[in-house]
Amino acid sequence: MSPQPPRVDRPDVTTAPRPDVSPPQPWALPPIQTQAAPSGPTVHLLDLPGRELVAVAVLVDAPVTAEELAKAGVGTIAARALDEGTENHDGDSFAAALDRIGADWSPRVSFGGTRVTVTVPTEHLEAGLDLLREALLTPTFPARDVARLVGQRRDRLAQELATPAGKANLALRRAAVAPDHRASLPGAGDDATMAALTRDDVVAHHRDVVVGAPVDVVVAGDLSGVDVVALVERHLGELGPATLPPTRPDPLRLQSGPRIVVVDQPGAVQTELRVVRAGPDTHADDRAPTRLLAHVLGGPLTSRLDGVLREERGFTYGVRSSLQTFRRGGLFVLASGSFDTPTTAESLRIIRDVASTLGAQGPTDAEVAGAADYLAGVIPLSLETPQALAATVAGNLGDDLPPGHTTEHLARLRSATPDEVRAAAHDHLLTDDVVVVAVGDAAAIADDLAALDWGEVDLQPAT
Amino acid sequence: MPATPVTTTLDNGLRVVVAPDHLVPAVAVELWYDVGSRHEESGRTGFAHLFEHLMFQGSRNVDATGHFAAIQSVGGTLNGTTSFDRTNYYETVPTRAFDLALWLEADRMGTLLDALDQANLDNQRDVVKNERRQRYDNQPYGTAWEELFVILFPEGHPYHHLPIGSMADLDAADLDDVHRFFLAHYSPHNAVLSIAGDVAVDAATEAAGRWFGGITGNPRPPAAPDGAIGPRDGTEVRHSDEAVPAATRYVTWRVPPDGDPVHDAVVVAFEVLTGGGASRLVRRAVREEELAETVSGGTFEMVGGVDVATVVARARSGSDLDDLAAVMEEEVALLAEDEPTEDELVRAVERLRRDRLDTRATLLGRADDHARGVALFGDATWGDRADDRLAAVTPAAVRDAAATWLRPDARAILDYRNVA
Repeated sequence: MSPQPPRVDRPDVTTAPRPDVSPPQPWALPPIQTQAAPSGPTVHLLDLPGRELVAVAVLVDAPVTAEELAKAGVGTIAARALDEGTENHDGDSFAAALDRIGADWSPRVSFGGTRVTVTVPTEHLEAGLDLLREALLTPTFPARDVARLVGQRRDRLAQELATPAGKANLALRRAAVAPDHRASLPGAGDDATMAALTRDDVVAHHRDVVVGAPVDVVVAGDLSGVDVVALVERHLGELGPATLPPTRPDPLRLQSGPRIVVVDQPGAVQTELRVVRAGPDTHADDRAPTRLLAHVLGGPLTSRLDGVLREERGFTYGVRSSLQTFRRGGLFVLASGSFDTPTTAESLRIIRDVASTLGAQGPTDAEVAGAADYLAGVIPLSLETPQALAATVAGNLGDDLPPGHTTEHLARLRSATPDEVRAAAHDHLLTDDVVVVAVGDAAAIADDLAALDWGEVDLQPAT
Repeated sequence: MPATPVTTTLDNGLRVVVAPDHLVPAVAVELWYDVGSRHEESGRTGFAHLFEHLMFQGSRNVDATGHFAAIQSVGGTLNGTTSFDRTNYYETVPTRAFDLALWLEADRMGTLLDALDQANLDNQRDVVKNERRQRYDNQPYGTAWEELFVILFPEGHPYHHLPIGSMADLDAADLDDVHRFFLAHYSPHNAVLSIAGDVAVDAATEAAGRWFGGITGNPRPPAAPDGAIGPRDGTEVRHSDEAVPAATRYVTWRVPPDGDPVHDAVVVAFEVLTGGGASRLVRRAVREEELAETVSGGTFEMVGGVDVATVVARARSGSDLDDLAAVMEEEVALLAEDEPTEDELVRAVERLRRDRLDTRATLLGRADDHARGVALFGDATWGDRADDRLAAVTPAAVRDAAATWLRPDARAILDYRNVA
C-alpha cells in the first residue's frame, strides 16, 4: 500500500456528471472523380472547398520490387535526383523555383510505386504542375549530384543505424524476411547496394522502369472553377500512355521462428525490442479484424501491453503493435518499444504472456467495440489535409485497391464482429512462429533472453 | 481563409478562444497552461513535464488512464506536451464528443489532486525516466541541447535547463511538491482554452462556461523570472566525447524573444541561411562543397525575454569538421555584412507563409496557434498576422539583426568529433 496523499480539498470546485456522446455518423472519403486524361494518365480528383493548399501526387507504377536486389535503392536515388537538374533548371534554381511558389516537394519510392508529391498554395497549382512536368520528363541526372545523393544516403543510413530504433528496424528486415525478397533490405537500399550504385544504373532505371509505366495523378484541394483534367493533360500529358505492363507484385516471404536476434550495443541503458510474425495484406479478409486486434494488444496507453508494461510496471515509455503491408503480404508487429535494460527479459516474457493470453481467450466484446470506435474515428481525423488525402488515395492505388478503398475499410472496421476478431487472435497470437529483435547490452540481457526458451538466441556483435 | 477567432474571458479568468470551421465534422480543443520549464525552481527541474504525465492519471470523476480511454472510445486523438514556456493538452474529437472533451479537461483542471497518490506519482516518474532514456540518453546527439543550454545561459537563468529535467530532481519529487505545483499553476486564470472546428462561437463559448464555470481560481502564480539577457560575451566551444556516426557542429546564439520585431528579422535571416535547398549554407556546404550531409537552422520561438537561434551541420563522412565550421562562420558573417537580395527575401517570406498554411491546415494547428497568441501576446490572431510582420522586415533589418546578435564572439558551440 502506498501512503495516501495529504488531502487537498478544493471545495470551491464543483464538477458535473459526464456528458453523453451521440452515436457516430457514417463516414466516407470525399468523393473521388476518376477519369483518364486523353493522353494516358488516370486522374483522380478530390475537390475540397475552402482548403488553402492543393496536393498533387503523381504515382508511377515503378515500385521497389522492380529493382534488382543488388541495386536496391536505385529507384529512390532516381526519384530524389529528379529535381537536381532539368532542361530549364539546375538543382539550385529548381529549389529556388519551388520556394518562390511556396511548394513542398516530396519523392518517395515504396512497394506501391514511385510517387512524387508537390503541395502548393492553391493559386500556384499550375506552376506546381509545370515543375512536376519538368522533373518527370526532362531530368538530366547530373553525375555529381547523383553521386552526392548516394553519399548522403550512405551517411544518412549510418545515422539511422546509430539509433536503437534504426538498428532494430534494419535487423528486423534481415531476420524476418526471406533474404531473396526485396523487403529484406530498406526501401532506399543499404550501404552495400549504395556503394555499388552508378549514375548509369540510375539513368537506366528511369529510362527502363519509370518512363512508360502506368501513371495515376491524384489532385486534392479546392478545385472550384479549375478544369484540372485539362491542366493535367496540358502539363503531364507528355507522360503519355503506358508502354509497360503493370508490375507484378512479389508476395512477402518470411523466415521461420521462433528466434531471438540480439544486436549488441554495449552499455545501452535501454533495449529496443521488436516482436513480429506474418500478418495479413491489404487484400485479406481478416485485415480489418487483425487491425482491431492490434489495437487491443498494443494501441496507445489503454491497450493490454501498455496497461501492464507502462502503466503498471513503468518499464517503458510506451509499446505499440502495428500491421505493416507490402502490397502483397504483411507483417504483424506484435510489439515495438524501448525497455529499461534490467527489465528487458521480463518485458519480453510479459509480451509473450499477454499475446498468448489474448490469443487463447480473445478480446472482450467491449475491447473490440472500443477498438472499432477508436480506429473508425481517428482514421477520418488523420485525413484532414489535402496532402493526407492525396497520400491515402495514392497509397490505395499502390496497393492495387480502388482509390476510395479507405471508406470500405473503415466500414469493415465498424462491422467486424467480436468473433471475427477472436478468430484473428487465435490465428495470429497462438503461434511460436515469431522473430524477436533485441538491440541492447548483450552482456546484460542475452542470458536472460535465452532463459525464456523462445527459440535460439543469435548474438550479433556491435557494429 | 479560415474564420477569425473570437476571444472571451469567463468570470473565473479562463480565456476562451473559438474559431469555427465546418470543413470536417470535428473539433480541436486545447488547454494551454502558462507553465513550462522556465517556471521551475532550481532542484525541481522536470516538474512541469512530470506533471503533464500526472494529468493523465485521473481526477475526481475520471479513472487513471480514463482520459485516454474516453477520448479513444470516441475515435479522438489526444496528447500533452511540455516546453520551455508552456504546457499544453489537446484532443481532436468528432463533433459529437465536443462536450466530453471539455468535461474531461475541466475535471482535471479542477480536481486532479483528488486522484493523485504516491503510486501513480512513482509509476509516472518511472515512465518519465524511461522517456528520458529513450529520447535523450540512448540517442546519438541526444543530450546536445541540454549541454548547449547550460553553456548558453548562466546558472539560475530560466532557460538554463530543458523541460525533461534531471534524473536526480525527478527522484527527489515528492507528493507535497506536486500538490504545490498544481495549486500554483493549474487554475482557470493561468490557462487558455482554445477551440477550433465544427462549432458555433456562441454555443462553444457557452459550453466552456458550462463545464469550466464551476472552477474558481487559486491565487495568481508569480510571473516567470525575467529572462531578458543580451548576446553572450565571448564564445565558448565544448567538445562532446560521445561516439557518434558523423562529426557534427551545433552553434547557438541568444537572440531577442519572439514578439520583438528584431526576432522577425532573425527568422528571415535563418531562412536565407538555411531554409531549403537554395539557401546559402545548404547550397554551399551541402550541394557545392559537399562538406555537410545536412544543415538546419532557425529559432526556438521562445518568449521569456530571449530566444535561441541555432545552426546545426553534420559533416559528410570523409570531410573535415573544421572546413565545415569555417564555411558556417563565413556565411553567418556575410549575413552581417551585406543585405540579402530581394529574391532571397521573397523566397524566405514565401517559405514562411507556406509554413503558416501548413499550421493552419489542421484544426489542432489552428487551436494551438490561437492559444499561443492569446496566452503569450494577448491576441488570437497573432499567428495569422505573421505575414504582415514579415512583410515589414527590410533587407537592412536582416543585416543589422545578424550584425548585432549573430556575432562570432557571442556563440555557444558544441562539437562532436569522436566518430565511431
